[in-house]
Amino acid sequence: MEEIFEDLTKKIITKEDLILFLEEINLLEQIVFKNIEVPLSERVKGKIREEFRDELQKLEKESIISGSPNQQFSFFDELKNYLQKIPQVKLEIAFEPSEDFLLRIEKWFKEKNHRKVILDLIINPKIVGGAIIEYQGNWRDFSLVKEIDKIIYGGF
Amino acid sequence: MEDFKNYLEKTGEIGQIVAINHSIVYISGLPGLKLGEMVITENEEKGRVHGLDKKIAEVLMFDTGKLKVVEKVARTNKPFQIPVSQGFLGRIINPLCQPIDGLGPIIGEKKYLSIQREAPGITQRVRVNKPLETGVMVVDLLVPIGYGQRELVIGDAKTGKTTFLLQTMISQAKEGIICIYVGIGKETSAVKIVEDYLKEMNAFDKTVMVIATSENPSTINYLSPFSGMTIAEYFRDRGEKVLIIFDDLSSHAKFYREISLLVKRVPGRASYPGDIFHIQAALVERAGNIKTPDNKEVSITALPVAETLENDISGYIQTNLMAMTDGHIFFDINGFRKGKRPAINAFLSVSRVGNQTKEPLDRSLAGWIKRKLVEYQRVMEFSQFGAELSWETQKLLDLGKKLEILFNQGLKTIIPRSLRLFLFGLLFFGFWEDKPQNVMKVEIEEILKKYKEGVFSEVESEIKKIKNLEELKSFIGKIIPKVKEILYANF
Repeated sequence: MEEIFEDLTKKIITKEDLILFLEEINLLEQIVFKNIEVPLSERVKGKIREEFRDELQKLEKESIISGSPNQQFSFFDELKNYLQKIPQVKLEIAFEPSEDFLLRIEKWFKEKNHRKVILDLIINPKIVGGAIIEYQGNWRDFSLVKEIDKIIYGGF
Repeated sequence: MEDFKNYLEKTGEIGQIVAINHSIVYISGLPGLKLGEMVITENEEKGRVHGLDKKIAEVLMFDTGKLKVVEKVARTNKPFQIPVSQGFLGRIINPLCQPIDGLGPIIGEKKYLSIQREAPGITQRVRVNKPLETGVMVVDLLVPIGYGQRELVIGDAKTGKTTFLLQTMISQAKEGIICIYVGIGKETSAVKIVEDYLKEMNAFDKTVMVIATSENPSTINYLSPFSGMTIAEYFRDRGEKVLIIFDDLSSHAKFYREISLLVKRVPGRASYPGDIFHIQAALVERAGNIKTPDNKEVSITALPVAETLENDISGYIQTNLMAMTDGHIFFDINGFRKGKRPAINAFLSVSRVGNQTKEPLDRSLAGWIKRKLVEYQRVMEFSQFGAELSWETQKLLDLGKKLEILFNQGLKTIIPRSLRLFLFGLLFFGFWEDKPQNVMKVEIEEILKKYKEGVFSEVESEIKKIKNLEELKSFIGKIIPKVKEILYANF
């Protein structure tokens, strides 16, 4: 099950992605008990992202979520729990990052941490450059403003 | 002291407030947090870690006004500290050492000290060997206290406990001793009375008042005696003798109970937490007579106060405090109702180490008084049956009543040793034997007045040289004509 969840959450990079995904799961949990003759992926057409719907179809074909509504519900519930356990990294940077940049950052964290992380982004131009990172109570300031402050006020 | 950002950079750990419950704040994050450590919020509010869970820390905050959930918190990697200064003398401060007397900021160098320091070890301690004069005759004679002693002052509310403590402070301030008055859960009006009294008696300059009022959060009240003791240690470490008064520790226990119940600690007897004894004993243990590295004796004398209800001294906190002190002075509500001032019950009061500090003369005088008081008590019970009393018994009753008169002392009267010996010497000699009690009262008043004016300065210096009761009796015999001359000069 862990592998399936990993696959499903592969594209969740930021906290916003996570919130959106959780909302979709909540919606699925509401729908599983309605109109049960129709496959779930059909029932949610237009209500969730197409990308996610494709994944659902794939899971149905592989008979992973084709069981009873109760089974489907517990699958989504477990998925929700899995998502909530993914650690978050608060990342304060000075600019709006591109998707590619975010993917690289996420990959870097995954390599260092040996597990998936979710990025909680804060855009703060006041830090000029670099980043301030917060992870599981640890805080590191790698911002440019700190270096500038050191140069300006360091002598005082 | 550094600010939030500096601490954040130094420790590299961050947390955030996840819940606020009165003065208790729950914080997540800060993986390296230690028990008793000081934390600082974005708004520069300081708190002390009270409990640690796997993911959440309980923190006692001392001002919750500006706090909000999700506020950032940083570690300081230091125990909770307060800024202590010589400039505290003659000032009223809160337990966070901020002035609350409206006289502006405290100027001068400040030293940051942890509020929870270890008590001096056995090798540092020395025997309590010098008497501490309270200026209250009944205590100085029958329940004597020594420098470095921890003596509990116990009794019902409004029985004159605070008055006795103030008299002691005045007596000690005159000797140059630093006095620290710690008010816990006091009303502002009561604090004002203490302040005015100390100012009127010119003792305020030698005093630091650490006040937590009933309006303050329970965390501030809980902190109060620890701050007071830290200030006392600061002065002691500078080579000064210190007298500290905790008014009162039964209220302190109630505030700690409130905090413990809020953090859902298992309540024990009378709903107090299990560690209440440890908390207060560790505090009182920090007092004592110690030797400095340069072989100088310095001391912190602690007078904690405990309130009772209808003379019941068997309460949980009261017995705890009795167990952790070197004796107690008991203020009897029944004595107070009968007009006894101070309403100290000498028979129910104990001083475990005070007697060893006394001169042989004081000890034998106290022994004589105690004997007479015991006999008087016995005869009093007997005389209530209406039986015809012998001349000896009548004499004993008269002496007992006169002893009571002598022990009755005005609120603003401080009686030093020499005057005490002089007055009791007169009684011992039989100066008031055939005189009515009213006349005795008038004469005592007159002696006190003349003594203040310095009329008895010669007697004062001579009486200090006396070694035993016989010498005292013969000395008094010699000066009786002079005393009469002074007393009756206006008649």
